[in-house]
Amino acid sequence: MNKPRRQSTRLVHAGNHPERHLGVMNTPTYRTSTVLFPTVASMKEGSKKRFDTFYYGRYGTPTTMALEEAVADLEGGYRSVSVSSGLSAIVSSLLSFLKCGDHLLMVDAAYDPTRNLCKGFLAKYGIETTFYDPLIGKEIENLISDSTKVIFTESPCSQTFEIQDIPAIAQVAHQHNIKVIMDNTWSAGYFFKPFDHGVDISIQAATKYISGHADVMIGMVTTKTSQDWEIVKRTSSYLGYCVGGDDAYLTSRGIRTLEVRLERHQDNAIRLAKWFKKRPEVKAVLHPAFEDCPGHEIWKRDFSGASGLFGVVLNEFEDERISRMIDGMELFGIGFSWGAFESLMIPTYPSEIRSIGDWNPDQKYIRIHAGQEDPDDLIADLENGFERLNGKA
Amino acid sequence: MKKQDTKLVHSGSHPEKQGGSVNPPIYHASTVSKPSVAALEIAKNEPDTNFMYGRHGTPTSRAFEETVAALEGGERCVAVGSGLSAIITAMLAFVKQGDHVLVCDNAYSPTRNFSEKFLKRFGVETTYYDPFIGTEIIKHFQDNTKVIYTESPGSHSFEVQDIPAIAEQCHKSEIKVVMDNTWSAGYFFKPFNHGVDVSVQAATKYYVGHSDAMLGAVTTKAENFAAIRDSARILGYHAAPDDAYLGLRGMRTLASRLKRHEKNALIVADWLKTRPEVHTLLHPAFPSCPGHQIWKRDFTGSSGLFSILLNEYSGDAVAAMIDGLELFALGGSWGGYESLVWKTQLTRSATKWDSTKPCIRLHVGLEDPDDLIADLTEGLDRLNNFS
Repeated sequence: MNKPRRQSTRLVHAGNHPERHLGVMNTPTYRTSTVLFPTVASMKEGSKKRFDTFYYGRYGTPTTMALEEAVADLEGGYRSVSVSSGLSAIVSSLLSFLKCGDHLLMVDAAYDPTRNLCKGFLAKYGIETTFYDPLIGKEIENLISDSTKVIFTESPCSQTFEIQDIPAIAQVAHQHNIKVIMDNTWSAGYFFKPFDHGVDISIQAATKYISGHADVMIGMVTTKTSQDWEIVKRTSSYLGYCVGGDDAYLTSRGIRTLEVRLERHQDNAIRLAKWFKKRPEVKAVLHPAFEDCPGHEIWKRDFSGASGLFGVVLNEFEDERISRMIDGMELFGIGFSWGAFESLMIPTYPSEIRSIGDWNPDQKYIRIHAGQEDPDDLIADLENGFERLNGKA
Repeated sequence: MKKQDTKLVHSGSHPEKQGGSVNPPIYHASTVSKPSVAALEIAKNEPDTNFMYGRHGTPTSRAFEETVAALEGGERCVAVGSGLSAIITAMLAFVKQGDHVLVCDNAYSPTRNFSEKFLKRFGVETTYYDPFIGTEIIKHFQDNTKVIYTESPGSHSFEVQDIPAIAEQCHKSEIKVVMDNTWSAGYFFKPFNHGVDVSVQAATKYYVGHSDAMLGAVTTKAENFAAIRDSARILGYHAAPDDAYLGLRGMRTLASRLKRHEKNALIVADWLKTRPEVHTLLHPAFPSCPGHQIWKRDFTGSSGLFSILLNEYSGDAVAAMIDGLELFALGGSWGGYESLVWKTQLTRSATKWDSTKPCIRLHVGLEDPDDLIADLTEGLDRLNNFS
């Protein structure tokens, strides 16, 4: 396929090579450790190209390479590396560009595991972290020191939904030879094209939208350049990260329907957000497509759409009332992760993790993932939930 | 009563039984051990509700069956290893030596083979009928007629049958109506609201939706469930756990996928209709398709599979057109995310078919329709320029 194809077409075909697999559309699932060579000479030859040929299971198989090809195509990058979870993608991308004595700028909205990584693991190896306000924009220059090597961004943030000015941050970063890593999971690489906006390394918890069915743990690191890909691939290989054949297969399988799923997630989330917006119990709707959301103007400028995850700030209610509302939901599950076919609802507590800004612990947040259900049923469930919230049920 | 898109997301999901996990685990099971002889006896007596033995179904395959039954609007479903197994399960549930079955003349070749090579050998006689027969089906009834096998639309020639009219006649004579409902995926046609007794699907197609599993589903009203279950059991049919899982996984996105397949197919069909190379468009949503009025009455939409009849071109010219297509892959089956093309050879015995017009079947995938039309444009250029 040498012709320029549109996004929908590429999502269906990227990474598929039926001519290499007996005509079968999907790449077979290789469950591989040992790869056999016909001669010692060919084994030695293989070792020189271990990242590019089928050399040993941990370095990748035709199944994982097919997935990486499709994700790189989606994100618009040079090439991807698949690892065993979204957190592994964060770790392998950070460790690719940081060493003892370096300084990291980390977005203050980063979720717990990332904060723990910075404060525990990275600190233990002499890497200093400064957390920064997600809405900082080009003012990030004030936080840069000679030892700053990486700026880690996430846009929108997955609990509080601030949209970052990635182009402004990247422009400053590149003047100082700093790598910009972005967690692009919310847009799934579909609604935001990281490499057109100055990002060097885009990571995704492919556990979320790319695999899309709550049945796989997997992470992807995609780079803009071949040099950065070599570094990330080497780092993740040294760390022993690899992806099982079945998980890689299911994730490639998810990509084929990414667009139709995302369109539905988007429509449903906007329907629900509009419903929340009209309710007197709701103080603000933190959905990037709505004006309440900090950075909404940047979203309009940089993104081509919105996925299914958003936040709601409630007026003052007792925690117990909020729990009664959530516990009784029939269609919204209570559980972590997001991005799959089903709707979810959890309370979030940003004041417990944020270190910058004024985060009132009495402010009540819930996070919604709008699934593939019929939105009328979801709204009926929410209406009953708000009855419980108000103590009427 | 939840709407069907919600059912597709939540049916068969029992997080409380599986440690909170949204999806059922994949049980690779033959033996299922029981704590006592008494418990084993209970399981044996109630194999439909207990997890008794791998071949009788696992929580994984049950979750798939539950979801199919909810979508089709039947009481119970039995999952088997392929669409053809589903057809055979349904037919053999109701016939024995000396019986007679009616099969629509546009049935695909494996069904015809089954009738001619298997049923005949075991003393069951088949009569093929015109898919447009409607109430006239009564002319073919014999005292020993037990089953009618319908498929609507036909998966190569796309005739839409008058299922309610056929079913009404059949039920007066206690004949079971079996329908292959694969084209609508149970989403656009509700078989049990139109008189069908047993709905079969090649779940390989739209349910699985990714060309990576062979799977069949037989869905029934309550009164036929025991016969269907026993038929599948006797034949040793069952669905492998990984395949049942992928079938269920596919159903979670069925609504989103089908809407795109529908939209893309309509765009491509609408374009083909304007091309001078095309003689007839056989897509149920277009008036040129036989049975279009019945489709309008009974269906709520259309999926991604349809055919065209070309004007008279040589076989080599048609091959040149198809061989060079880049996005339409040449392969059997359909219902996966990708576009496919197939050159159809029809076998007919009860009706006439004009085979001078090459019949090309298209499955329109989830690609961008502009790319698909560009690919077909080049294909028609090859057709015209072939010498």
